[in-house]
Amino acid sequence: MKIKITRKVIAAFILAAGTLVMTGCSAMQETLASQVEVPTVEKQANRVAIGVTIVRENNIMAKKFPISADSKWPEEVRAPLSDEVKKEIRELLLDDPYFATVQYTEPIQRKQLGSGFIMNQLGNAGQIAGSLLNQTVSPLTYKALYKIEIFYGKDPKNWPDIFEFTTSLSNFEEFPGGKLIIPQEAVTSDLYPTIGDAMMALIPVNLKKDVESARADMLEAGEKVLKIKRDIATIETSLKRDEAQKSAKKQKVNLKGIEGLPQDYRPLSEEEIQELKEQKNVLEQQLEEAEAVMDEKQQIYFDLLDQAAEELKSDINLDDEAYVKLAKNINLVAEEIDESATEAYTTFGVAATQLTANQAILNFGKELETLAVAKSAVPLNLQDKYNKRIERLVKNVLMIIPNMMMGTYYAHKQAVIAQKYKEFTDIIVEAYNAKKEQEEEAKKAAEEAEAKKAEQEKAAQE
Amino acid sequence: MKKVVNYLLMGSFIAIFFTACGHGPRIVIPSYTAPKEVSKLKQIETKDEFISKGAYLAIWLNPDVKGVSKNEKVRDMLLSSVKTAITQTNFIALDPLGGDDGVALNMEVVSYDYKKEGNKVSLYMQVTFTLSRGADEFLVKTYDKRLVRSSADPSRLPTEDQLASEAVKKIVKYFISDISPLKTYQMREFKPLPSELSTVTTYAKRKNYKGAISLMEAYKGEKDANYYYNLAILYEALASETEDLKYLKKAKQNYNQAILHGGGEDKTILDAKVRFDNFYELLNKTKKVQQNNKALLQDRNSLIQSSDSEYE
Repeated sequence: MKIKITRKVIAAFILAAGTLVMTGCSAMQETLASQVEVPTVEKQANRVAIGVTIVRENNIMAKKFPISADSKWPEEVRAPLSDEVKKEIRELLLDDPYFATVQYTEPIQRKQLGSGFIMNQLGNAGQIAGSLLNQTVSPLTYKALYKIEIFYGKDPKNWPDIFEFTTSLSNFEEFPGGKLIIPQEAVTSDLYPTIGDAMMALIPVNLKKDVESARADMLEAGEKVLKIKRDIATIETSLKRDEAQKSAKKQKVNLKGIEGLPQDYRPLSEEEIQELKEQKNVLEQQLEEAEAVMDEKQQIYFDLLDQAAEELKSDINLDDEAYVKLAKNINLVAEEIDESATEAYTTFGVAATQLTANQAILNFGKELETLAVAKSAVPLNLQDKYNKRIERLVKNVLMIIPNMMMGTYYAHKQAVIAQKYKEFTDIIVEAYNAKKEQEEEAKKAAEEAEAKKAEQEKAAQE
Repeated sequence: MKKVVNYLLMGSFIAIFFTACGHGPRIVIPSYTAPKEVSKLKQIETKDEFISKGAYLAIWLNPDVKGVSKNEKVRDMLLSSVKTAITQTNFIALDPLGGDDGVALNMEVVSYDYKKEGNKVSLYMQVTFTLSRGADEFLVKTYDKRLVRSSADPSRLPTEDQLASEAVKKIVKYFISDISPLKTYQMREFKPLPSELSTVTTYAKRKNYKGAISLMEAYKGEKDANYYYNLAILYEALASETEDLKYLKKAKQNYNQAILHGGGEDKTILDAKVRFDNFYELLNKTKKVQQNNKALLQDRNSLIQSSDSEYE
């Protein structure tokens, strides 16, 4: 009886997990996918890289891509992905060192490292289910790459390398490399450098100057906070790098046998660690003050936007087609940034859980060993890719946490502003939709009345 | 197992609770913007006991627009745009003759710059509007507009005159909204209605406000704040479509009833009432001013006719 129930529960669980993994929203799918995957640092690095990519794509949408009433890209980024696009992305990913070789290394790693927390609780059935449900390319990866194609064009030569972390965090919101294809279609309305600038075109004239000035103050205060954040992240990186090296040494992992690993690393002395920690404390205090200033400036900006929204409700300019189209486009972009920011949080949250709660970070030495064992399973023509994959992993591991920290901070900032822009433009978009619906209904009613009249006249004649 | 089912059910309810909190049916109604330079309106008023019992609001449009040497067509664009905007509500009359006692509107294009570079065209225009009575320039306002257009296909780009016309319309709108109400739109949201009145919103969505009002007025059930508010927005919609003060008064009565029945606690009702109160005042004032302005226009017409007959 007990066995029967256990089997039923396992079957029901696998079915439920499978259904959600295949059909749920992207963020939910990402969370569930993490429960059926091999808990490796490499997967978390890739996951964080996708989170960072989402944050950088949000930055492109918020600060890099000009927008007008005629822009097509807001609709493109909101469009659902077709199977054809997904297939195209899968094919392109085969050129990436990880995606080209993972199918050969995964079975060995799954055997030696397990199949994720929940699947491990289900024993052998979980192992099999884990490998069946595991998706090599997650929905968030598809979506991130789809947007890369919109921003950088079809040719992957113009794309930035999204899976390799940069060692500097000074320009975090920007992709290193890549050639953006800046859209410039603006025939019926102006071309605004950013959605923030375009928003100013929707603000009632009497408040425009005040809102513009408050926005500039907020952006300036934000820059100060970011500088301190970058400095803290750099110190964190040094400390984590040292910790990782010492942990590998403790676990007696032969680091010399692994290509790409810096061989000349000198561990930090206790004094150096102490000094770095003190510097970090000072910076954290400065950060608190800078964040308070920025919150205040942001609140002033938001209060003025609320005031503008109240005025807008009394004067919705629905006769100006270009004005409405611009509002619609800003609304689409704001919605996309907000949703994407949630997806980015999810990647960082899942990666943090996998790295710490599921102890992937502590097993990193073992993970490298399983990869070394799996090398023989990789075909000869892909050995170069395999080497590049290991090289990237070793570089990436040091930057996972700083990227998560910075990414979470930026995603939050992006979401807060996007929500405000969405709220504002909702007033115009909803009023336009209501007006359009009324006009269509009135037209329909007039046509029905006309038809009825004609029918009555015909009947009278007969 | 029971517990699991209970949790799932509870979870579903919570999910539905958070996702199903939508809004009621909405309608868009025409409305007026309030003039921003209200204090200057007094200075536009002209008191003439022979023409009008009260004071009329009128301006004479000076056809001599300065600073149009770079594009002569801008003169006509400005004059025509001002006429269109002013006559939208007829709050201010256009005095065809002007006079020493009257108010004149003078316009000057302070800056005009049109550029065409590759796939991009841009135009910058700055216009100063001056309202004066004799030598007294009591309102001087400068507005500008920069338009930038670009396209991969340059043949799709607007011409210089098209850009200038658009800039003029926007600049003129900025200025006229300082001194006169302009037509605009506002949105109203219905509060829940008793099931017997479920068709009211269908009528309203078809702009059949009279039909919707008849249904509401025939209702014999309990009348609460929501009922009076819904009736008020229907009368308001009818008043704003027809500009008939009789419906405007009805709307006011029902808004007041909604507040008396506790509607002041409801943000939707209170916000709508505040907006309505502005419209109520503006429409009443506009109608009154229009009546006074009518006397001025009759006087001017008779002057023009008599000068025509003298000429004959």
